Amino acid sequence: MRKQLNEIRDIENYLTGSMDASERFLFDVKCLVSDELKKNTIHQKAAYSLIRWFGRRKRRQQLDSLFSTLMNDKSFSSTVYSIFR
Amino acid sequence: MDTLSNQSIELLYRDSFPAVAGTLRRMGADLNETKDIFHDALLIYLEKYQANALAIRSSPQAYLAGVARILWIRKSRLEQKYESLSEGENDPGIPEDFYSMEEKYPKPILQHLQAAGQKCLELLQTFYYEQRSMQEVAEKFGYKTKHSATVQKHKCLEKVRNSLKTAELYEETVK
Repeated sequence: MRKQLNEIRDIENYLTGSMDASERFLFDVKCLVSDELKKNTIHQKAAYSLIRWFGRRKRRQQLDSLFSTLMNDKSFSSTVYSIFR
Repeated sequence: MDTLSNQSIELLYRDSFPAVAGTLRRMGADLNETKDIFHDALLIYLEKYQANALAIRSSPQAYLAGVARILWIRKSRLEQKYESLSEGENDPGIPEDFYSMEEKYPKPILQHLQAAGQKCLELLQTFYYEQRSMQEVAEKFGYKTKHSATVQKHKCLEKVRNSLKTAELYEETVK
């Protein structure tokens, strides 16, 4: 388990540019040698994109809720409806 | 990382939406389309604000109007309606993966991921998307120490990574 978590941390350091040049070189070599490490790196990068997708979805839901709240404000809604009449 | 308070976001929304709505209405958008485009522009603004990567020469309102305009043109072009981007308007700093997830991953897989680990995804979003510190993450999710929160973060990330790996293997098998 510890080894797997260390790998997660190492891949993250690699993908975020936190490694120095020699560490990056060593990691690249490890990926050439280990197909599993290479695939795990690709999937971890995709995982970060997925997390951003969920984060954006949650924020969009919050903004939709804010829009609904503001549209209950007469001053705001009358301005908006005057634009789209 | 800096974040805007909910109050500041509401103020920004009130101040900016009417002008953006006017611009997009003139470009052919309806209210629902305008709301969605405005929300995308606001998302991009908030992400850049968090990352201290905003380079605004004018006001936040003008920035939002400019980004919204470009997003609308992009949407119209994709739907083969009208308008091409003029020079200098082709890069509002839309993040590379802003629209691509729906194309890359079919919906059932995304829903499966969400159902499989809501608490994990919430934790990961808080750290990686909202860019809260590990201390804040530990407090929000009830971990005694930063270290235990970090270990959980890594376990959750491994869970998501393995789900993606399994989904890819499933797709390869089915094809």
